[in-house]
Amino acid sequence: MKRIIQGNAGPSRPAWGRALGFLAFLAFFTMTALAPEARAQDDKRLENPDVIVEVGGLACPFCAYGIEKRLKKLDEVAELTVLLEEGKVELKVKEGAKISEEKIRKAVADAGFEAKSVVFVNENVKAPEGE
Amino acid sequence: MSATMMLMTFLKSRVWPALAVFAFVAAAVPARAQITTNTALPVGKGEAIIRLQTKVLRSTGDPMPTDRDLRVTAFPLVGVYGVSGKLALFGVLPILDKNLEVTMPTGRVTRNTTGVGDARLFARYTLFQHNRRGLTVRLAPFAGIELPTGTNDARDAAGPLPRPLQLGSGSWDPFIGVVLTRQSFAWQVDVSASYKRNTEADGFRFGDEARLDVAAKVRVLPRKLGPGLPRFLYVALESNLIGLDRNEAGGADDPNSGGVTWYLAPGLQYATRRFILGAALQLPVVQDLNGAALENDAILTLSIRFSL
Repeated sequence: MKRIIQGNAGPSRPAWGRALGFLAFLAFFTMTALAPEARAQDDKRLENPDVIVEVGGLACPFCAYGIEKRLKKLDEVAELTVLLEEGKVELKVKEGAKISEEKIRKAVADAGFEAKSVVFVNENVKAPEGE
Repeated sequence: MSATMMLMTFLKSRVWPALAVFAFVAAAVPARAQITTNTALPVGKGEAIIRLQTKVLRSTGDPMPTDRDLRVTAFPLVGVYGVSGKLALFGVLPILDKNLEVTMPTGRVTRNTTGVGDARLFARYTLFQHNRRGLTVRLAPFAGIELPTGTNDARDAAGPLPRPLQLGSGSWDPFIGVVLTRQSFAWQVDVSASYKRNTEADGFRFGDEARLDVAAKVRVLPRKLGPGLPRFLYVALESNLIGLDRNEAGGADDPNSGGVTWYLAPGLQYATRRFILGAALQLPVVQDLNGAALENDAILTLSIRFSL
């Protein structure tokens, strides 16, 4: 005879079945929602960047997304690319806009990293400090 | 003595060591962490990260005729928010499903409970960091509290469920810890030590919990880094040493509770710029549990985390 006493919930199901269900969800979510977008960005490289930032502490692709998001929030930044192996972020500044080194360094620090150097390839986009 | 009374007596005296299971499964690790271990890697200011996990645990091998079979499935939902480049706030809300089967003279009996467990809120601050190209070393203490969001008075037809089968502890439990991380392109190591002080609720106090977690992972793909942001595949090996004090009920120690468990967890992690997938199987290497404990077979952990 099998006697079942249930708690405050419905009948139990096999735990491994739930785990496999979750795994299927993960696979579906990854393939449909995130993977194509990630693939599109992976090999992107800027032509003629205005600013090159050398970033200390950047050592994995997921961490790189944090710094990418932070720098993209800057009004002056038109587009950017993260070069993981080189430890660099290349920035393209919006036409007519200027950005200060201080602002870039702060954005990198807010992302949790350290700007080792900020090189303005295009001096025309460099704003005086304090702006 | 009726079968129900026998069962209740049995559960009260024998199932307490399963608390190790509860404590382990409920303790989800934060986003951007390794699979079973905390990390000191940064969360940017204003950045939000979500981590979905599932943990499946089964404890069998009962030497007694009761042939106990404990199954716990946990779905901890982890949210992380960066207040600044150094300060991050974490929230963990576990959904738990617990089943215990026991053979009694009258037949096989199952007790089950499902719902929200005890939530955790904590903050982590990066006290020290050393950065250079492709390398970061960080030290970050963290502190927080486990909230009594899970019910601790669930009942079924046989009466109140034993405490380890309850979803929550009923108590406000502070914890503190520190994590050291070294990450490079090729490998990463995290070492995390923490202590949780469990407080009393309704005449019962779970034993305090101390943990030492060490996680190492090595990048296996790509073998050479290419341009841009390549995706990484890591092979990981993590170690979890967990010590639990004896529980106290009515002011007296429970001799069938507490002990030390050491797990080794081989795993895989796949990291892209938007998400990280991880899987690990935690295998108990040492289970030195007090009294008549039910030992764990293994714990399967699957997770995905993504930045919003």
